[in-house]
Amino acid sequence: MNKQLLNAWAKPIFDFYRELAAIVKDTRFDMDMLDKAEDLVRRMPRGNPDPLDDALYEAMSQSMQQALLDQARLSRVKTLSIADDFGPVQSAIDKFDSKSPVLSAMSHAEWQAQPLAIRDRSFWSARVENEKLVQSMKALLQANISQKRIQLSNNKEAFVDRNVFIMLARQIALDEGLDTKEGNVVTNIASQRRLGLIFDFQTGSAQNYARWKIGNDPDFMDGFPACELSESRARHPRSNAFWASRWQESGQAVNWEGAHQTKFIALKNSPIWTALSRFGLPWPPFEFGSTRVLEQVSREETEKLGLLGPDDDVPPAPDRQFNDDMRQSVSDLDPNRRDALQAMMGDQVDIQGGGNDAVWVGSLVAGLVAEAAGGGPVTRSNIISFGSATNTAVDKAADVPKDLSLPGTRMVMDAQDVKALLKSDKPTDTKDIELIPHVWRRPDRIRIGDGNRSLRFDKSIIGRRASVNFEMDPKQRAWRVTGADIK
Amino acid sequence: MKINLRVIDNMTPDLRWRMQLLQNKRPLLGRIGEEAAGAIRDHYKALPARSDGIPSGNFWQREGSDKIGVPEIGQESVTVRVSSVPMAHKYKGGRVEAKFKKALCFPIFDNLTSTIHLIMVKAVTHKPDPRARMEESEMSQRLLVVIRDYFDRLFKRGK
Repeated sequence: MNKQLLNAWAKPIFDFYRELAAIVKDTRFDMDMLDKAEDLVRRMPRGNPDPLDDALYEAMSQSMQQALLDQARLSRVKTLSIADDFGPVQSAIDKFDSKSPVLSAMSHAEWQAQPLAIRDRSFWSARVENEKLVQSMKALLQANISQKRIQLSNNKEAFVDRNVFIMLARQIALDEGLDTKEGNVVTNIASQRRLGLIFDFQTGSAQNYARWKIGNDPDFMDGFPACELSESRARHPRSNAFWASRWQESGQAVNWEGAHQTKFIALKNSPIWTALSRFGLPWPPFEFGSTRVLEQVSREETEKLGLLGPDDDVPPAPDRQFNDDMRQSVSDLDPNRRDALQAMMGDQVDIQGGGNDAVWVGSLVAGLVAEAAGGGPVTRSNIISFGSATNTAVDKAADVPKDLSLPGTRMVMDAQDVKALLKSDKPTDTKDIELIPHVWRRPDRIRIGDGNRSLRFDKSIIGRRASVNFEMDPKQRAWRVTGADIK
Repeated sequence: MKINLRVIDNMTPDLRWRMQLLQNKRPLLGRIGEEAAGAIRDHYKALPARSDGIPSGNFWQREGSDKIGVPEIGQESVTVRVSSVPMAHKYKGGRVEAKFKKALCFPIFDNLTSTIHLIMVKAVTHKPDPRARMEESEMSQRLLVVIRDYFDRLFKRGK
């Protein structure tokens, strides 16, 4: 502490008390003395505490720094432990698992015209309607993101990296006759180029989503309220001019809200990020084949660039706003387009919540499984319809008795049905239950089932043999699952 | 590679007292985590590319720098992770067998003719490469600066 500063601040105050004491001591106690004392108190010096405050702060700061240095010397900062764990990131796994496989003949441009909520929650590839390929690609990518080994046909096990994914998916595409004979071009689903693009986009998107999610944690945003688009790490990158031009277009489109005009830096909740993306998502990749990621920008740097003032609060996290946008993207659809979407997707998609939420069949089944396996009471209150019998199913059931005919009937399932499947003598894996709606939609064969008013649907799907028994509920004209054997 | 940083363990009584004054340690932990991730990124960037004549596949960047993240910020600790199976193999070493074909294929650079030859083997055993994991001592000084700066700023803001 600086003694001179303390004395300079304290002297007028001590002088005041001495004068006050002299008045009290030396003057007879009467109204005159009280008036003098009151007058003196009114003129009491306050002193200027600012220099003292600065000195006090400096002293505390130095003491703190000394304490930290002492701590480092004494305990060698045993606050850090490095473990040999190179494992997966849970939020990336969760994000990818939440996507439901969707088969559709739509081109990439047609997909891009669909609501974001639908694109982001589905696993699709333009113009690919082959169930086995789509399911297999998703399973291989899931294994990559969750770092799980897959079982090979020669009984060996292997991790799925980019090369393994391309090799196995390509083999399935060739086996299924999907090679367009165009060569190694992106329009050919059997080409290495197209499959490599799928791998890079899906794994990159899941990993970058995980970073985006933690980056939007309010406590993390306290230190890093902005992001910067990194340099490219591609072997043959797009030119900087390409991204500079895209940045200018996107910035002007959002009126430079929270974004710097020359550097590729913007606040995390700036709309420029979604405007920059070809896919409408606020996390990378922002373009096919792009290796640019988002790097954190500190609060100090953000202030230097003028995106935030020193006294500004950290802007709110953008993930809630993004989720609202997702809902909006479905509710904005006019009823005609929504009907057209359902016609294209069939009963793979269910638009709920008064038209505000798009839910895929896989997500619906996952919800039932969670209820059935959750340990709480399982009711029949949440009955989910998986759609009317398809033309494929009707054709395959041409020979069944009339009282079991499929036209005009639908398939329903609730949590009690799922619970019965999980507890049956042929227990069904929770992932297998997601296959049941696909068996209902596109069976290979339909025959008379076990029990009264029953049909059994058989189907080969993603290398497995599924046989599902459906029983007719005549009142509801609906079929319920009463057994499943999936090997 | 998973790094756990615990901020209140083994502190001097003075620093522990200051830490306990923080009602919410997560903002500080977030800064520490990001700094740790940056330190690891710099560590991988500083490693030299292969010099045996075979074109570099940018392994340290592809499986190291690009795979670092801060997946979790807890109340008392932060996790920094390099999420990569090939990097785990690099660090731990181990045996690699041919799984899809009859043999593995390796490139070898011939200095005399400046050509690349391919050799085929059924399996290969890699030794652990300690460069895959950053040492604790390399990182602690950088983290200390972050902690010091954080308190410094906190005092200024409070003042």
